Amino acid sequence: MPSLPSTSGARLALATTLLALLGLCLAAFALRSARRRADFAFTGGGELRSLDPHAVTGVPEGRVMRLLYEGLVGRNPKTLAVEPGVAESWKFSPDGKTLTFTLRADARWSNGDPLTAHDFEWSFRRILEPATACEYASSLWVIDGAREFTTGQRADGSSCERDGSKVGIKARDERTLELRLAQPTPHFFALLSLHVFVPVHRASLEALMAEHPQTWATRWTRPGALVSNGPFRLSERRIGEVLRFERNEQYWDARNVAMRTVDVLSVESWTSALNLYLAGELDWVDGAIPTSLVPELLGREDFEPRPYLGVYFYRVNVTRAPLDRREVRAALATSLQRKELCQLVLKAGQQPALSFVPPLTGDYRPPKTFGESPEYARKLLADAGLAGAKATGKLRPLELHFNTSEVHRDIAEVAAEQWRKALDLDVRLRNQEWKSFLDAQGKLDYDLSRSSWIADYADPSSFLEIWTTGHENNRTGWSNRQYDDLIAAARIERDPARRRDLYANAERILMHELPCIPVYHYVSQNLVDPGVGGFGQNALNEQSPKYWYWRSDAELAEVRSKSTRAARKVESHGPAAGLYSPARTGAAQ
Amino acid sequence: MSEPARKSEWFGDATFERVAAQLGEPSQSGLWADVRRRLRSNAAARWSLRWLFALVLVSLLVPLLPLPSPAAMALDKQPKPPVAPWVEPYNERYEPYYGELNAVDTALVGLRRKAFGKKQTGPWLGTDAKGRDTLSRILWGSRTSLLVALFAALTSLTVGVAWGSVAGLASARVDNLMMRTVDVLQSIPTIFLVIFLLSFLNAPRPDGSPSFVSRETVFFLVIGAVSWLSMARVVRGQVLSLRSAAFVEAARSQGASTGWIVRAHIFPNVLPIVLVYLALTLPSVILYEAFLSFLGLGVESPKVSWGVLAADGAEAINPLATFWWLPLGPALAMGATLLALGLLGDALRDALDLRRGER
Amino acid sequence: MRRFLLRRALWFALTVWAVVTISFVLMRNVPGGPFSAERKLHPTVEAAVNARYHLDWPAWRQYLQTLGPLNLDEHGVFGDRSDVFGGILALDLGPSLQHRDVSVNELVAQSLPVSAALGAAALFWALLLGIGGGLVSALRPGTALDTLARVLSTLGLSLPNFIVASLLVLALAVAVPLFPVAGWGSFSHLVLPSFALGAPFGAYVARLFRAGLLETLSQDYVRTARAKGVPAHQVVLRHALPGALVPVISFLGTAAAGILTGSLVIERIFTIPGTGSHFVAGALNRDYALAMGVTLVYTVAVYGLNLLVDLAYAVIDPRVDLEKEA
Repeated sequence: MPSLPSTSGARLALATTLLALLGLCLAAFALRSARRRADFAFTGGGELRSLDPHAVTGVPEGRVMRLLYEGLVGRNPKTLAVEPGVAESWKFSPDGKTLTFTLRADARWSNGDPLTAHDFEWSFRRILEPATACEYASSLWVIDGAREFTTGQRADGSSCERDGSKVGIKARDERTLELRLAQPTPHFFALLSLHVFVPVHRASLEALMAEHPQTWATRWTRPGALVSNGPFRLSERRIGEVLRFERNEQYWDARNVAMRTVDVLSVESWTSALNLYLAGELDWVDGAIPTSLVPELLGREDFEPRPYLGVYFYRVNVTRAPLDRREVRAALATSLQRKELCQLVLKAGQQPALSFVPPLTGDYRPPKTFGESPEYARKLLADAGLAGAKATGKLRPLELHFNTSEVHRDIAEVAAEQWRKALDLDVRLRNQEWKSFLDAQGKLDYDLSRSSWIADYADPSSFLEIWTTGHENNRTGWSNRQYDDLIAAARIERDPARRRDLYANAERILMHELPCIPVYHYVSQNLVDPGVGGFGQNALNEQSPKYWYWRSDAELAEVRSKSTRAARKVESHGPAAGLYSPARTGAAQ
Repeated sequence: MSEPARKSEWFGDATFERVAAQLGEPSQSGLWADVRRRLRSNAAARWSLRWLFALVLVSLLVPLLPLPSPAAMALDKQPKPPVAPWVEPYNERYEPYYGELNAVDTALVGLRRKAFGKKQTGPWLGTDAKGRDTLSRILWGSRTSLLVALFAALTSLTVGVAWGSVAGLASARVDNLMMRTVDVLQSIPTIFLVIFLLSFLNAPRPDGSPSFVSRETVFFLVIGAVSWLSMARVVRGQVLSLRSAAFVEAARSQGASTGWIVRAHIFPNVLPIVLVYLALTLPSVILYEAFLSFLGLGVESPKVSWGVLAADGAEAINPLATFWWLPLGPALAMGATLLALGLLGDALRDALDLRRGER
Repeated sequence: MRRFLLRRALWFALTVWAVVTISFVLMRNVPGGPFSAERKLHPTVEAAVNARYHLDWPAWRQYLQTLGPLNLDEHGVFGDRSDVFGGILALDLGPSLQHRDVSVNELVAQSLPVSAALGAAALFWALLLGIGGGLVSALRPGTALDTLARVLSTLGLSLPNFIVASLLVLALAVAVPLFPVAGWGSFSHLVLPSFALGAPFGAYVARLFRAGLLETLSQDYVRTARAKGVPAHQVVLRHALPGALVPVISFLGTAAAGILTGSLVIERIFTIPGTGSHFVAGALNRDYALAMGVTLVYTVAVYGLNLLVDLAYAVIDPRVDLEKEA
């Protein structure tokens, strides 16, 4: 009995100790070295899809690309006006078809290599290369020969040879880049400031592709390997956790960049993001704020929604009875009480949408089209011999299709209720998780389906192009010859006023035919520390990280005293002395 | 070292084994009377049974109660906190909109309207952001959760018990094959199964007729599909040990037929363990429904379930504005029911534990 | 012993194969693809992406490729030669379709230790709470203390863990800022999530342990030891405890699987970069490679843990020991 080693108790103790040791080792291995908090931290939702600027489309990815890369031109964060980027000047040829950029002489990659027009030529061609699978490739097809290069087909569908030398992108010399367009395209310039049209470092990428033909994609975006040309460079990547960026000292304007380090955290749940923000771990949160919290947030100075170029709408499947009848679609559109939805469900100042294009889209003003009137909607149905469902049994129950999300569910519930009350219509809800939802929408397996569209640039073409016949984002089965003609004419119209009229006429047709029922226009919902300066509250909710800085307590007090908004003060987590760019502190001394 | 004496139960559930060990002796005719007596003398079991009985009754008859409709909205900026019953016992704002109801429920709601008219209870447990009554939603939501539990119980009892018994009684080869099938099924992450079934079965008909399989049905299928696995394992273990038990051997040596042995010896001795295990399965199934709701794969609005309410409630737990009544109600309802099931399971096990009872 | 392990290995391979096959069939038949998005791809571009990840191949060829490692494609067996990843048998799960910069191997390698640490900490809580609670109630059966411990442990099993986790954050990270609200990196980051994850299992362990202890305390060998005059605490420690731990240990296999799945919710609430989030993301984003990878990890983990449990069983079963001593 007393011979200890043989007793089960001792064995058990040994096993437990071993187990505990194993657990400790695991924990020590998995818990990473403590991370110093970055000067600025924000979250882009979940883990980013890629750091390859030509392989991403999402809003969070776009924000990170602005940290890492810079295109020919940028946008002013306050006014959205195009401003110089890598190009210091540019000019159009008289016929509006050739655009010549002069690159700045001091443009460099983060490894010190000079950045030349050849880099842009190569990178733009890479965007067009089908193997790159850039989702924005078709945006560049306004360039002469670009469509033919990507698809091997001409615009009329006849096939041709894919030839890179025929694409209208040419580096004339180290500092001169020439883009030749197929037709004069007024919105092209706005398009170029998108985060996609940035250069990637040819030498490092090609070397890796030669060495690792299978796995180069997983190698070249690693910290240390990734060469970029933006205000920041990647210094650390912890998947599912954080991306750490450092100021790129090789950047031509580095002296005007204030933040030394920026963290992009991966946070999936909004409640967690809020908790982190309130604890001072995040400085900027933006995303699907639970609507029940909005009234509380509106009282705070760090939350100030602004109009945002996006529209929330329901697609209508015009290939299905009874929605193939315009009267039915019009009745649905006019009987929705958008104001009630915006004020009592969404609450953050979203605007009822009676047009597809939001009001603040550049200098375009959407035409007045339909109004809200349940009586009119009922009359429409009655005149068409299609009174409400339960009364005559002529309208079958409709299905409102949306992807799984609390906000979409809230809106759908209220919309269904409004239609039920106004039209005595039975509207049933069907939610699907995202990918199945998209699949069903793409196959026109729905009656009414939730959608939204966010502008890439402040121009009506960004919204109205998608409704042309056969466009991959049309997804309603709707097609209108007259509409297509108007859009085609607007595409090449160089007179701004006549161009606006063409778009307005097209939108009139769209809002008469109603293959989509606009619900509301978005607002941006940024929760941002009051101490952050240089933060762009603009209609695209787009940020230029190079302008961010921390206000000193004195400056913050001054900003607050100038503010006309009656909002509760919120403590800033920034440094008391602020954090200004080297250029600015130099000037102050 | 030899193979562990566990009949190669790879994913064995320890609980059953405990019970199985305790149930090693043959059943006597007096067993059930004994069990009933012991359960009756156990206060926790009594109260648990009462609670569960009341819950089932209320959830069956909830359309009759003078509650607001769980789907009727009164949009408001913020959720409204509870009002004590004595402050606002009732109001007359009843609105008879329920979404889709089956014939029986429609009739019950009709009765309720005859009996109570526009009267409805006040917001005793508060309302949610869309002005829907929390109490009403909890009671209507209990139907989904109980149905899910019921369905899981049924599949466990039919498929699980049948699969386990056949495996236990069949030859070693068949037994092995059947149990390895269970292993494989248990290794497939159910989340795929859920998404697959939801998107596959929920597909609308091409003509747009809304007669697609409802989400609840998919739910029941999924939960049924996974809940029988452990039951099969447990039953098989028990049957296997009974097969070689002395009293069965004795019966066999006296020339009893297999059918008779199954009826007279195996079945009565498997039943207790099945019951105990059932009491353990139901809470986990109800929690699984909540888990799916948290992922946004729960039942379709305007229907509600405790899982949906709990997931919505969890969102209301945040430092800015805590609408405490939103998580509290569903948490209490779920907590109490699962506690009752747990205590009942304990009591049942104690009551069936013959050896300890005799000491 | 060797035969036992060999048979296990065989069944293990069969199970993995079956799981991989079933998962493959399920995944490829769920509607929607990895590259579908609100902004739909142009058909030419979509075809190019599909070709890059070989999604344009017939299903059987993709299946063979997923299994690997023969790499028939590399040798041009099906006509064109294509560069492909190794496949499951070569332990190369290929590139993730959703996170294009990382391979599934990297994703698993980065997240698995995190989940394992979280799981180990959760098991620690489960055992601490479970054995502590079970001991208290088994040594004083029928008292108020026993009732309290039992009700608490049943209650621990009665609430969805996302409610428990949210409440914990509100109470111990926001109201009283003892722990960080979310994130990963230090031991203090580990406390709340592992507790929220482990507590329900602790409740289960407490119940098992109480029952086990009560039974072993009444066994003949324990009674004998007691009659011989061995002190009470020694009786419990040396004789009753190991026996009572047997059911607990056999439960740990099941618990570990549950902790793997349960961590999905906890990881989301506490923003922990573990495997759980990939589990749902892989399925929801139709990231076939990632989903297959985490499924494999899940299967292997569950299987491996159960094997360990069986071995542990043989090591600490008191009856085996007693036989030896006799």
